[in-house]
Amino acid sequence: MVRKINSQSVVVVTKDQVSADLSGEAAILNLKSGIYYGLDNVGARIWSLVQEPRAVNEVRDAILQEYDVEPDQCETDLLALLEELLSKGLIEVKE
Amino acid sequence: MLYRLYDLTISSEKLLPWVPLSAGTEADVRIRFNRSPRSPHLSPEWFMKWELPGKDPWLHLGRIDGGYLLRFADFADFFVSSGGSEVEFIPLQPVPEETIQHLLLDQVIPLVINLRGGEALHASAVLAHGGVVAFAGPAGSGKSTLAGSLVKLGYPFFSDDCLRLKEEGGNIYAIPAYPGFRLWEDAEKFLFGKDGNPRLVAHYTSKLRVSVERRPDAYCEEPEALLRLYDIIHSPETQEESRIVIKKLSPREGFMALVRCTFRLDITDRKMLTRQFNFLKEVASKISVRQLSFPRNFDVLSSVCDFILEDCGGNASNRASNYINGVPRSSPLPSAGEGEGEGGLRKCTV
Repeated sequence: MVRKINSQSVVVVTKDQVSADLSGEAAILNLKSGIYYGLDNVGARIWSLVQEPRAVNEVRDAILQEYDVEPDQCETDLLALLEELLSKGLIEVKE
Repeated sequence: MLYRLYDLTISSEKLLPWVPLSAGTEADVRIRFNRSPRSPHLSPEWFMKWELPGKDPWLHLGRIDGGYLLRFADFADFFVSSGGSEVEFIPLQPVPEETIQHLLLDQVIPLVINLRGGEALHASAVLAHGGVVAFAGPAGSGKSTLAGSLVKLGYPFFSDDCLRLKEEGGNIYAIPAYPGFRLWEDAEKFLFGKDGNPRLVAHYTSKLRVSVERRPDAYCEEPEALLRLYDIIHSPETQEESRIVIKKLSPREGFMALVRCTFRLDITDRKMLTRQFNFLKEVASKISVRQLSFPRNFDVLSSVCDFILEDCGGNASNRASNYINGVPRSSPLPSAGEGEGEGGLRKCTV
């Protein structure tokens, strides 16, 4: 798979969605497709960080400060989640 | 005639024998019935379709001048005006009265509620322990049978297959439907025997409609706070399940369960989707949603009811059966306190 997001990318949520914080977890609705998504606590924290345009490495650093996780693992998992959010039309990459 | 259905006053040229009359003077929704069958000449822009398990078409939703067209298989159209104030039945071939009533009350009106800015769940419900206890789940999962089992135990019936919800003063309330529910023949016989006085629901199904209004206090007529929603899991795996399992869902999991059972007419209407999303967020934040699975066996129903009643915070019914599958229970049901069991998973082994 060709990655569209790297650690220098700046990402932000799209306007075609609504989301809700549900006790630290998140629910998201893609208004274009009408499909609903759920995120666990860590995913929801990442989701809250990308409500404003933010560099991926900035998000990674915030997660590293808050969770007990290895930096490489954190970046791998973060990029995988962001790629998935991108493919579902929930975030976009700012040029 | 004016009828009261949920929080709507409905005018109908035809008798709706199951629906209470309204004391109101002005109709929110006017229903007209086109008498003569006619071939479909309308050209809607179809945007949604549902199929039956065998892939036969069941319901098509389409946009048309002035509103929406709901086409049921090849036999009936319902036109619904954009604001949901007018409904017109248009037969595509001769349709029996009971089928028209069923489609109107149980399929069209829930979608009209959504179109008019309200929300309703595909769920059956009773009143128990001071609140509405609702059951959602896929077709055939046992929603109505479970509600019927609790009605048989004396808990007032609230609604079948469509639960209208409203937020007021920060609380979530349910609004009753009409005093009748639909069961498969075997469930109807098991629950009500000769007392049910059932009638056919519609010409295309062997389901039976059972009235509860003849029983005193058997039907709740006023809005009540929603206490609990059980999302019944029914799959080939759970079909073999030998235990009753209630699992407390997180607000996110509960939200997703609510999403699965909510009526929505126009899924391309972003305003409606956003409104409904925000409403379900409130429901998921305020109401505890549980996942429920149980053995597919009528003999277990009374034990399932006991477990649910315990879970809702009351005492198990005095009528609780000491037998499951004909085998005496050796120990009482586990306590139903919050947070018990691993990871919020609460199990009852039978």
